[in-house]
Amino acid sequence: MKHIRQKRDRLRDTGQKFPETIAFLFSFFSRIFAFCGLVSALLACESPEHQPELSLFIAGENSYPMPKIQVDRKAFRSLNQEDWKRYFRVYVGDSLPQGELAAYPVLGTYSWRKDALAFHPRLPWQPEQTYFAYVDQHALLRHLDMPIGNDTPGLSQSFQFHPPRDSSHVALSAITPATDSLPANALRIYLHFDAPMKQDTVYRYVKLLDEKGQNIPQAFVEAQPPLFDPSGKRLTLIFHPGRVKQGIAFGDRVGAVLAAGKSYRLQLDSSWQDQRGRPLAKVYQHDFEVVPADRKSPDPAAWSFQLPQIGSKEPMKLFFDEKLDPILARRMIHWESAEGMRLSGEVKAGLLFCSFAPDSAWKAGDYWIVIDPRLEDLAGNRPGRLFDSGEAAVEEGEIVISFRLK
Amino acid sequence: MKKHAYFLSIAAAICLATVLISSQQKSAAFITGTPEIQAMSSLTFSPEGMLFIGDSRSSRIFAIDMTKEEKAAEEVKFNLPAVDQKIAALLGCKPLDVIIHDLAIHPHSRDAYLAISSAGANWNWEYHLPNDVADATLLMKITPAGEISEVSLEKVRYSQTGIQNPVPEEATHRWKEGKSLRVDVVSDMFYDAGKLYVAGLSNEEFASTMRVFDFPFTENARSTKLEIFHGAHGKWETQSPVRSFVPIEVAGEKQLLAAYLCTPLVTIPMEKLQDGAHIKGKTIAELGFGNYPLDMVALEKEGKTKVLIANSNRNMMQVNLDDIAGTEEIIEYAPMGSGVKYQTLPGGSLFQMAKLDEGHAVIMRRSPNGSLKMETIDPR
Repeated sequence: MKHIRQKRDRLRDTGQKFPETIAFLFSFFSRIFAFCGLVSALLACESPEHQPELSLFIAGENSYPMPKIQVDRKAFRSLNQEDWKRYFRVYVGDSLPQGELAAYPVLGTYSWRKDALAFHPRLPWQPEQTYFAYVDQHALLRHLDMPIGNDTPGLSQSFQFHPPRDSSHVALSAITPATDSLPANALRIYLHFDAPMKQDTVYRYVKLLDEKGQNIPQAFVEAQPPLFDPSGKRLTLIFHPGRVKQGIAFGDRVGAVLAAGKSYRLQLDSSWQDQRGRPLAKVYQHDFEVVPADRKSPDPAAWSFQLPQIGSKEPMKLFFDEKLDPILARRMIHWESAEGMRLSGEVKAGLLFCSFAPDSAWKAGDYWIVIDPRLEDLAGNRPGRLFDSGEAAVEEGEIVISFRLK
Repeated sequence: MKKHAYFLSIAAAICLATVLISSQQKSAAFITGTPEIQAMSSLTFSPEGMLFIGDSRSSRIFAIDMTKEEKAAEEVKFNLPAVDQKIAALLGCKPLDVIIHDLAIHPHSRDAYLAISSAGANWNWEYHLPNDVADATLLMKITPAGEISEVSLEKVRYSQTGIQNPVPEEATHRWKEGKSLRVDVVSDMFYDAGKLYVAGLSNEEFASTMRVFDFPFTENARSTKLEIFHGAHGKWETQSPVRSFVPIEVAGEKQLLAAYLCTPLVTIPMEKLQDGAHIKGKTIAELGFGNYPLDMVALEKEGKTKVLIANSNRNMMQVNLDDIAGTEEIIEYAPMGSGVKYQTLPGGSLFQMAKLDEGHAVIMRRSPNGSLKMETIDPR
């Protein structure tokens, strides 16, 4: 501000005259206003009352506020878009860029709003990004044929826009298995969120509480990185296998996580945030009881099904002999034609059944239901192999169930 | 009475004129205005300098008249470091926020045209393509000298046509969770001899579709369903769209050489692209799993045609046209590397490739410092 006053004084000292109708820039100072949670970076001006005046400001989209520069409107009425692109520029960064990037100001357009000239960026301002607004006063005054001193400074202001505080929350949309009873040797719990979650230090937000409300330490494997699906919206929690599988030293020492006949609470802390920084809507609690351990393998030979109508696209339902992991079932069971071509359609799975809705209508003929042998029940038991059988996993062939529509 | 008849005939003439204008606007007519483009999903030029913009969101194709651009004075080459930094400066964002959705070179000026968005912060999975992440809403131009500017689409001369039976917005991708298949209504385009070939998805039972539009646009677009044998998966597939293709001539027959995700390479006879047909492509190579073929160009070197294939997760590949004719069709399980002979060329970290002239292509790749560089390459 000080140097601008000096310039004005010097101009007066030289005794040069200005046309009354053409006012000149004489003072700038910058302030940052914050109002209603919005931050506003401004370049404002002081003016004698008889001087016409004009604001130059930086318009933001999406309710972002805007800095202002005050200059005289009449003096600048003759300037067009291209002129303003030369004299009033906004750059990325906190200073005037040097080198090649000086030729790359932020794209935008200029418009008059009442007595103000606004700069509108081509794309919305990026939150947290620092910008540098610059008015080349020297060149501007020269363009207008106004007297200039040799050291007429550029006017500048750096600013940032902050998005309005997001008061929304992320929600837990489901827990799988959707049941209030789990076997004592349950292996997995899936948490489904409605937005991608922050993925660091997730385990501090997940607690398993016993009947007294005491936290059970080391209940889940703290995998790094955590076991999120690619969307970041589904987290797989695995009960510590060393405490599920029988005969493991760690489990023998600290005991099983879950005991039959007792009840437990899975609790998610509300400070857990999604990738946008929104916290969970509340503390989520999921209570469940524990039933005796499941030490039986799923047996597809004992499954039953309902045949669909030929000519319809109705889902075919397949009923399991025990509760299976629905996330795995959806991926590991599919339908094929007699020739072995996979049928396109949608598989849905619950605990005790899955269904297949084909994209095209059922036709008469033979079909296969193909089951990946890695399919598991809630305790990690696979067809023909118990989770804690101690046998090494062997490469097994697909399990198939055939049926005929006629 | 005479007066009445006069008025009536004027009224009829006005009605007729209105009908004519509105029917023309529906299809072929060029008008001057601002095309309502929702997403610049794919770009390509005709040799005359017509810019085609495929818009998956609005399910339309726009032809922007850029035929008056002046010819470049001499042979040009691109060798420009850190173009993303300058684009980011213009957009007011960070360089890593810049996504280049597609690149096409104007056949006269040799300027590079780019479809751009600034949503790079959300591009965190290699199986997401730019159009999965955001809609490109900016058209920018880079001259061979390195000047970068936005290309205004206000008051341009353009025509447009609709794409029938597009895959609907609510159709979600099978394994890209939460992503719509809609972004693949147009997955790639190529203009050849008065026709615009548009690969993508339709809402038909067999989703992978090749559409052929006459240009200037007419009401008669052809739509052909495509099926291919994916040797690495050991099965016939109809769901996955062609990711990149280029017309070639094999043994006197015009074919489309097309590549898909996980990179089966397929030839499709162009004369079989009839409306309503369902045709099977001939799989001639398996170029590798976990990879998108980003772009393909056919270039001439020493009288031979060589096709370069730019990949998202493999090196650059070169297939010599002479090697394609005798290649056996893959019709049973075939591992990566099966089929037509190809050379691998340097070319990792690639994002875009487009034909520059008969013998050269422009690529965009990440430099070791993470910035995006434009270079000119030629076949071996």
